[in-house]
Amino acid sequence: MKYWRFVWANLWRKPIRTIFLFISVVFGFTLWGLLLGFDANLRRIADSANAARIYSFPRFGGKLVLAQMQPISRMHFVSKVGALGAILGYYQQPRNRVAVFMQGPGMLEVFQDLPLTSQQWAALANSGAGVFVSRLYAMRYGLKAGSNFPVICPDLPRADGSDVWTFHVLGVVPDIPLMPVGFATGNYDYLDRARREGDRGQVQQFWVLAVDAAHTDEVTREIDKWFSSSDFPTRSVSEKSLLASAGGGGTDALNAFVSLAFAGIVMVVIVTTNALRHSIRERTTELAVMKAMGFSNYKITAHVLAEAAIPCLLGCFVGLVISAALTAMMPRILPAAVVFPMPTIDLQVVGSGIAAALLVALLAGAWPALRIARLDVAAALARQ
Amino acid sequence: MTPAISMRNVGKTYKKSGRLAVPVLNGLNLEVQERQFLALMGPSGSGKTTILNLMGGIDRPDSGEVIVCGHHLERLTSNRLGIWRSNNVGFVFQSYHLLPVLSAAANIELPLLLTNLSRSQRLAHVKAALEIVALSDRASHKPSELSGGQQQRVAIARAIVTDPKLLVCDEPTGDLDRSTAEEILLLLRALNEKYSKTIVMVTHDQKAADYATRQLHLDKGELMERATEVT
Amino acid sequence: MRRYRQMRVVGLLSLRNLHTRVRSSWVIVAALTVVSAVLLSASAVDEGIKLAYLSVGHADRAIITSSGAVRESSSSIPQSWLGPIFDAPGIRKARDGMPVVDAEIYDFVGSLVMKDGKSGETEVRGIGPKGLEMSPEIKIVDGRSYRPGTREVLVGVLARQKFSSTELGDQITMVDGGKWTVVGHFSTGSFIDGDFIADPQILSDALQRTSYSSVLVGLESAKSFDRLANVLRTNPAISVTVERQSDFWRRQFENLPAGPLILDYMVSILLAAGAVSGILHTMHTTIGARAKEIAILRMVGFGGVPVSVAIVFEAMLFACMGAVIGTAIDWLWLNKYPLMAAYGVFRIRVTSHLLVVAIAWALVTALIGAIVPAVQEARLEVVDALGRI
Repeated sequence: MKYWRFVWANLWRKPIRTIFLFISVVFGFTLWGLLLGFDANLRRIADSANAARIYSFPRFGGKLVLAQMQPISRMHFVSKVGALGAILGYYQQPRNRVAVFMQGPGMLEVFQDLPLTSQQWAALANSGAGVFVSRLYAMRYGLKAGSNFPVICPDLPRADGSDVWTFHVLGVVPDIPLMPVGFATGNYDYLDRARREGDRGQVQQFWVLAVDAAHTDEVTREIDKWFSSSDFPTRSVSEKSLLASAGGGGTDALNAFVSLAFAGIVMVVIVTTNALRHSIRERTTELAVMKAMGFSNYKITAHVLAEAAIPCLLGCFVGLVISAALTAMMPRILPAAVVFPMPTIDLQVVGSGIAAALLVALLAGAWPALRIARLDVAAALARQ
Repeated sequence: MTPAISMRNVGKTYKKSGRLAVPVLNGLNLEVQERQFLALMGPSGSGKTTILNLMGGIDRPDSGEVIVCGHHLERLTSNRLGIWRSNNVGFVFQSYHLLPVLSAAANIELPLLLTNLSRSQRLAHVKAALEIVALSDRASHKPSELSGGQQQRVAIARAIVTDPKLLVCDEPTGDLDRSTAEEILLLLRALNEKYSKTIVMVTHDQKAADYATRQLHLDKGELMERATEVT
Repeated sequence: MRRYRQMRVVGLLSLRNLHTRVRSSWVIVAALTVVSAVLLSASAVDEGIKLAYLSVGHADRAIITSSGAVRESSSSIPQSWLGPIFDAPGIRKARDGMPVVDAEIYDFVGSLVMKDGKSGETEVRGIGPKGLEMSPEIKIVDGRSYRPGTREVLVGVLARQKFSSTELGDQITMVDGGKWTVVGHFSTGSFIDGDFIADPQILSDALQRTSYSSVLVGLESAKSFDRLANVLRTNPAISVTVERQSDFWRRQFENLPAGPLILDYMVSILLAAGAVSGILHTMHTTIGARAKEIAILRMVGFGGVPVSVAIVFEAMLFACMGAVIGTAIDWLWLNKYPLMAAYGVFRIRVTSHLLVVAIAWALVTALIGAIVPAVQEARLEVVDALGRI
């Protein structure tokens, strides 16, 4: 601590340069926070998967029907089945795609991670056109409890011929990793009553719980085999493999995020190294005097590394704060049509940022350390 | 009486890149007694700064012995030399070499950071050093806010703050006008007489050398004693 | 004129002793290398996707999907619709008098193992002999085509690079659990190179399908498209979308999610901003190192503007070097690299116009970074410039 004033004074030797260095570091770590935050969220999504849950979709873009629930529930190793309807349309403009998931029979047992209390489930069941929306949806579309939420769905006209489904927001609930871009959820019974007679009884997906994770693959195959030659063939996939591919698994997306984050840190290393190099060059005589006074190579190098570490650590802190703020604001400031999982600035991202900041300081200090160790005191003083 | 500085058969050669080696000292013998104020004079390139650097432990001889304050400097490792310097030597340079980002007091405090003294103890030492050099009212000023003479006083205060036995001064009045130079030289003399510091000063100025109690002239590796006049 | 002459003189002087400032200006080169490499990598991915989709279609072919189908995977053309489609006017006839049409199947192949050990998936296309004939861009580069009526499969060259067990003679497990033998590799230059091709009839039986995904039609001429489309669209027995093949793939491309593009721009802007700060820092440092030279030029009589123009010019020159190096790195490392995205495998493309983009970014970044210190130099009084020496 007794060297703190000395280190701080040297940092502000050229205030403008220090500020530019700091700004550069902040940008580098803002990028770090955002990209590793994306990475963290995608991994969180993949990790949150329920290994025993399966989704069954229409195989060729057609439909499924409620009557299929019974044979599925009787299959080996099936614990529970739920039916989900969906209104896939848009809000205000066609580019603002929205999906309102309509909870049908059995979904309360199969989708226990939906963040609704039992009172909210009951309200949903009794509310008709009522929906609960997640915070991301609320921020993106400016919704709150009591708002109207009209969704236009040309593919799913109502019985009265209109393609506008006007929902009433009952409340805003937390987001869940399973639906990283947010969600709106309503009542399947209302959907079924309100749509055309010929479309009644149709289902968007079945959610199936296997007795345990070990039997998921078997159940998946059995469901598809059972309905393969029916009028409503299915394509089933486990939640785990669906989230893994949605989160970039099996693609190069995750590697790209981390590579880009490192590119930002390389930038910081370049700028910090250059700053330190110039600073040491300009202070050669001062360093020689310090050595003459008795300061060891180790002590002088430690000072220099501290001069690198302080802007790196402070810049890391500010950069991560900015990335956290951007993350919170993104759903509000991005166009509603732009939808992707938001970054998560968790402890791992912060920890890795601090580690990266220290590594940058070490890398930037390597050349000065060598220069200090090799400094010929007499020769440096003779050049005065 | 054991001399404060003893240089025995010291040789030193400098090599410039791509050129032949130039011997600067060859079998030099020199003794400086305690509490002596020695002025080393000689033409440019005669090796007087080299002798100063060897005495101060910031350079090593190629041959011979350099014994200062009872230590064989040629036998110490770099680390040990650094520790030895912090305890035994104070340096005063022609260009002052103050750290421009620190105040006068902080510059003076710098060598004390190598000790185990508490902050209040360090500040007390700094205050004492400032009083000796008569600059107590300039403690918070940065070097850029001080005159040349004042900067050199700060440099002297920094050199004495750890109470070393030996002060080595390389052209301490080289950048100063006549009257300011005299003030500095009087201060050095006071440090020698009142505070019993052994001082070795390199200078090309005879008037400055006359403040010393002993003068040596170095030319072509040979040391010659000169008679001193105390002013 | 005097000013321009001065700029020329100062510029030439700067160029002559540029080598003395390479060490102090390396950070501009290095920073812009990083910015260019990252910016270009993102743009090269976009370019690859664009080329992959937009190089597929041909104007003399039409593709028919079921109405409302956004993608081939959601299209369903039942057997009963094939008759009216095949009989429609505007379709080219083969030598045997039969229409040049191919009812095709599109499905997923999951549970594949990638060469890095992770699991992945891609698509399988049931393309019949007529379809292959209509598509000369599908070139067999290795092995042979499948024998109709067998469980033989062709693997695209990108799929071969990405997935294990895709060499000649290897076996691939399809959705039905059955084993199919790899007999050849094909190349088209489009993203189809990430897929498999097999006999549509055998594929349909294996997958127990009752409908086709699409029908590919060879037109008599590009102009006969309208005739074909009118007849099919007005036929009440079928409900189809008829598009030129090129228009179909353009629509697929336009429906790709915009999210990743926004991310690219965000990353590029943040990196560029970091680079600008880095350049500002470097400019302050190098100008300090050139203080003597600048002061002497000013003392001798050169104006502030020529001196500052030379400073900006030099920064832009170093930035261009960085842009060229960054582009070269990307070209060597990424060009034609097969990338697996959520919508298929395609090749990254580092094209020449991306170099222009990189240089433009570099010049703008360097200009923003150098303009402030350069203007400061222009405004400095000569006595102050000399005072810095």
